[in-house]
Amino acid sequence: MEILYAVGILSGLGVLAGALLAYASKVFYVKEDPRVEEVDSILPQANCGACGYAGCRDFAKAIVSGEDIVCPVGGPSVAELVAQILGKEAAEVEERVAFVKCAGTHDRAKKRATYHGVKTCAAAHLVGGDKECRYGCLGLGDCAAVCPTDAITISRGVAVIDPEKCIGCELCVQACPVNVIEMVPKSRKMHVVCNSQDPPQVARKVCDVACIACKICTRTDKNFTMEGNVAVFTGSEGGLDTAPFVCPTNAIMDESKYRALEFVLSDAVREAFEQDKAAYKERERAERAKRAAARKAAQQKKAAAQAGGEANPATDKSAAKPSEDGDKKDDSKKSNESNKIDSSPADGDKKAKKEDKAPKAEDTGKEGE
Amino acid sequence: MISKTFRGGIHPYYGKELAASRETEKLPLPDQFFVSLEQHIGAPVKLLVKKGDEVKAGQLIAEAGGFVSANIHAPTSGKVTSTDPVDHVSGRKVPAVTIKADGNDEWVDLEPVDSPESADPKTLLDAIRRAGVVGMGGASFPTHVKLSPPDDKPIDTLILNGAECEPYLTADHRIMVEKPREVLLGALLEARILGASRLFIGVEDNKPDAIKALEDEVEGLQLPENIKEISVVPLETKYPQGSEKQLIKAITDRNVPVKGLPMDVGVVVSNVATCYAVWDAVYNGRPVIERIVTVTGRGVVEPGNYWVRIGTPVSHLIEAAGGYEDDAAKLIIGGPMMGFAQGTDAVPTMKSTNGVLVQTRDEVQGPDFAPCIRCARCVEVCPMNLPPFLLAAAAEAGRYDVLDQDVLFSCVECGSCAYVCPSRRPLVQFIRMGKAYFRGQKKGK
Repeated sequence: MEILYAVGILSGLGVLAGALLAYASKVFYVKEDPRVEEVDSILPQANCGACGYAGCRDFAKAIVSGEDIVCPVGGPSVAELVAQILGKEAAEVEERVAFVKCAGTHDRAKKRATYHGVKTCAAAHLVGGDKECRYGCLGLGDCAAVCPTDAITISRGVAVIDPEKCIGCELCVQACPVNVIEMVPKSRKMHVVCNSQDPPQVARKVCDVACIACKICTRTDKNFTMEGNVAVFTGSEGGLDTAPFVCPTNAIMDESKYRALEFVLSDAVREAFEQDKAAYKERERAERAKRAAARKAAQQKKAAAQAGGEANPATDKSAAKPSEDGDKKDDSKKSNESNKIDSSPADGDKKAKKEDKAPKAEDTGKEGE
Repeated sequence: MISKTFRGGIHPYYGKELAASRETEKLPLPDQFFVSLEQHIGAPVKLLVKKGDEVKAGQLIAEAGGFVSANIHAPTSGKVTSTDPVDHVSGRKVPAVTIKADGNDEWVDLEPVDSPESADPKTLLDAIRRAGVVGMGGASFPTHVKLSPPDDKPIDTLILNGAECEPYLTADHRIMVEKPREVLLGALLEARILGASRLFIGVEDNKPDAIKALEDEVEGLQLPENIKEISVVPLETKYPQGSEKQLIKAITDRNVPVKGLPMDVGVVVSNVATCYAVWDAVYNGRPVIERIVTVTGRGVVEPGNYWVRIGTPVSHLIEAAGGYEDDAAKLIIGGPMMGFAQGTDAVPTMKSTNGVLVQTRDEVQGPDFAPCIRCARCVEVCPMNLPPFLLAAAAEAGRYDVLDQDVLFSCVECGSCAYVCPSRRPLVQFIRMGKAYFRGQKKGK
């Protein structure tokens, strides 16, 4: 019998507590904008904090409450969806990824000393690192340690970021003590893999793949500009296919052709690149020889016209010939000559002048016919 | 004789026997000098010479760029061949003047102060400033700044630092034994400038010959009126006895407050080599272009002490000491506790270079270390009463938010904690990482 009291009291308490809770949930209900839930479900849920908020839900709350912010990880697609929910116009979002501006692996960058301290970049940076170049990657992986998506590979003394895995959270940029990591538009495929502000004569000595501020790239491609002693690619995309080939130190990388990981770390890929470069140089030479031949012919013709008063049929023929069937023979002959002249890594100004002159010579040739 | 001391500290192998009894020799001049333009704490200097200029020994080649800054002079006569950056003790390349010596060592005309015993403090200070005197114990703080404390901080005590607690080094030891009179005269000048009435000379008790030389000299000294008390204080042989705050604690029993300076407790500490430089600047008008450097360690053939012109490459010094032993492994500028390991011996000596140490392979530890086992030995030895293991653990984990900056910046980086750590943890390096983080934050990175 007594047990029933206990059961009765406990069930009574249960009902009472239940009623209280039900009441409390109605009275103290916190109204949350349903859009927060919706926005939150769209976000990447990386909880990386790159936007400046503690996590994706905090970001959702902030953006619903009217903050003018974008999710740097989600990029334009997320911005579009969020804008739909909020009934706003999506802001222009450029998807960005982190990029390490250094390709100075141990075999390419000169070593200054053996570093025996704590194996973090922050500690090594205190004593200047182990490379002669003090602008280069220290290669001890502070960036890789903070990367939430394992997008960073450290090998042979440099960090390389896989742009496919990078979510653009910028944590590595903050972690890097030498500021060698930069955020670049994801669409950008052309990069200068050097960060050295050393004067050219120093940079040349301390690293094989340093930008030596020769400015050839800036003259051949308008997308390149100089920032102090290092060239930078400033376009969001594009860039001439040939830009990497004109760089005398191979410090320009075309990501549409080579993956950053392979270009920096793989010797085989480097060799393939060297071959491409050699082929390009060969083509260039041939082209230049062709132009030179055409110009020479035009000059000859002009001289003949001046000397003989009236056009001499014999010289006319010889002038017209190279542009028809004699191309190949002529090229092979002339390429040897131009080899000697142009073997110095093409002074851009000279080249530009040649390009200006060449078409004119061809024109006059045609007129003669 | 009861030796005074402070709480904490360590007793490492001192290694002073290698060079302590070696009389100081004049080092022959090298062909080339690299005079670094970063030789002091404070504002950078203004370069006064350019490539191709002829200079004479003692000629001003770079002018102080502010009040807290120090002049730099040419170490010998010759031609300026370059002003490009060269290696610096810190591991960076910094601007420097390269001078090709002509071998004649011609001097500029020197202007000593007339009757220095009665000259007024302003004249003395100016002579010290012109000579570019900086703290020669290692910190290289401009001496004329140290000797001009603000009016609301009266100084009653001047302490001469002759402890030389850094293992292996004997440069200060030699100057006390060989030039005690000059050191004391320099100290009296400093005391007069400061208006201090008490003068103590702290020397570790492992240098009885230095204590005796100084005591003999003190007895024969004609004391000026302002000095009421002067004595040579033997200190316990313990590292870091020569650290400024520990020295003040041991001799005067005063505690320098956190973030404070010795002048807050009415004390100024000056290294014995600095006093010699002050004497030289005032009595002879000679700028700081020469100092004693100890070349020592088991990695060099013949350890010794040398009068070295500032800007002499370390390789030249090593050569004078008979070159490297076959198993030489590590080159350190300074002592084993607080010195800087070097990647090249092309680095030049500076005003603060008191020693060059070469360790052998057996003496050098590998880079490996183990986790902290909470034995608290570092806490026991820390002369600043800090918990090094906690500071280091926080910095290692990147938890800079839990670090108290006042505590962190109280660390004097003496290395006692890392010395006793059974896990061989590089505690000082971690703490320096933490400091670098907060300094970077201040700059806005």
